[in-house]
Amino acid sequence: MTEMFAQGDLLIERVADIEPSGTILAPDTTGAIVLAEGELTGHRHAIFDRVTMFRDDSLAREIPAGLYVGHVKVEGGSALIQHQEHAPINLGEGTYRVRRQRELEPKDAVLVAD
Amino acid sequence: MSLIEIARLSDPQREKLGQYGQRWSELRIATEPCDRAAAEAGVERAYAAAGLVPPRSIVWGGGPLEIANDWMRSSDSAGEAVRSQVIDQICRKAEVAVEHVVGLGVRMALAGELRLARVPQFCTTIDEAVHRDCQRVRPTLRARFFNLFAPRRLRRASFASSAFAFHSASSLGALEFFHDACGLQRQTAALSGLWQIAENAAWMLPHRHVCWLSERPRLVCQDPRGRLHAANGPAVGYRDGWSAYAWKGVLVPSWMIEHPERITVRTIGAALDPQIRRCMIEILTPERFIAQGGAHRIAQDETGVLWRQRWRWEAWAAVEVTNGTPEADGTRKRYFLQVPANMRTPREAVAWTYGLSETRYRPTVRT
Repeated sequence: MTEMFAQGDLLIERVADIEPSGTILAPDTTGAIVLAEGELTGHRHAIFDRVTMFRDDSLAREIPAGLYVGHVKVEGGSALIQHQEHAPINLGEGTYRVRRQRELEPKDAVLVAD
Repeated sequence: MSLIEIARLSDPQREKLGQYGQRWSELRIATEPCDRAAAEAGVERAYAAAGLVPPRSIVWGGGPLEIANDWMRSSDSAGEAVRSQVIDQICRKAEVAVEHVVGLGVRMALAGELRLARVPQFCTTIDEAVHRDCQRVRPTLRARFFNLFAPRRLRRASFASSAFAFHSASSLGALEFFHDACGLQRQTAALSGLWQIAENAAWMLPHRHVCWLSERPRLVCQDPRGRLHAANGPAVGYRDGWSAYAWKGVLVPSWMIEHPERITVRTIGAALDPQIRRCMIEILTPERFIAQGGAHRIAQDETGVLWRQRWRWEAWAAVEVTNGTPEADGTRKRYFLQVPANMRTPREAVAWTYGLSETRYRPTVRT
């Protein structure tokens, strides 16, 4: 079974170990790799340990548009995903694919023939 | 021989591309009063580029509705509509000329600068609201009668096809970049008047002898996803007093925002438009909608509770979930996520929110 972690509105799933490809995302000025940031609260899902985050859309073709956040490669020890509201999640060495949660929006509403 | 003049952008040009993206992004949300003299000088140049004599008069309005009203009342002496010559054809010619001389690498770089490559969603919603209300501006019965017999070129078309909104210009920003940063003056010089107007006016309604211009909006509100949205008042308003209300990109009646207390399970059930209905549920909040008996409990499992309501032509569903991590007082925050109405179990609904099938959603740790 795929190792899968849910932290608030993020889902992190372990995938086969791969080399980083696509765009490498650099840490911000605080040294954190920010996986996602709340639109209204500003709360962040962030990793302060040394990991490589990259984004390669070709590795997320089966994920619905807009949900793919990126991949995280953890090497040389574990890494902690931290968030202001949720308990931290510990990621062991390996590669993980991160996606965000969606919700049906008013614009998505359509009439159905019931 | 290849006609390509620019195969790819240099690093300084890439930097400039970002600057032009920023510039046009700011222009689209600008709310300061216009520099009318500069805009009028732009009109003269734009007409000249189209091979037309400058209009005899330029009429300003505080917003698109004001210019629509004035335009409808105007006589035939304004001449025929010339948007096609002054704006559409000039832009198209420049687009084609530039397409011929730039390579695939340049086009891909441009496609990556979304502020230049795409018209933001909030702009198209503003146009939708303006066109909806300006469509109601009707000429007098006498004018409509004579319009039936007028020569084809003088027949009054709709406001939507005669007027042009500069915030929704799809290529002007990119063409300005090619002119200023890539040396493609020959292909784009005819647009100088339009760039000048875009910088100093919001709407343009050009006729042969009269050109109507509108001031910029006095407010434009978006949500973090770039949709027209305001929870406490109009989402867009012009200086002529016209305004429109929007919730997450959906145009809604003013009472829904100004008097949210009037939204009840009953008014939600009576709504005809499914998008408006969903906005009503969001404004009331799904939690209160359910608490007031708006939806039925369908199923419960270890992932949450599934709620649903059906109306004559539409159904709504939400899954109630709780935070994996308790608050300091031991309680857990609850959330209601709106999901497709054909979900059968809470697990299927939660899995859908992540784009997974019910069988694949099996988190080992949830916090």
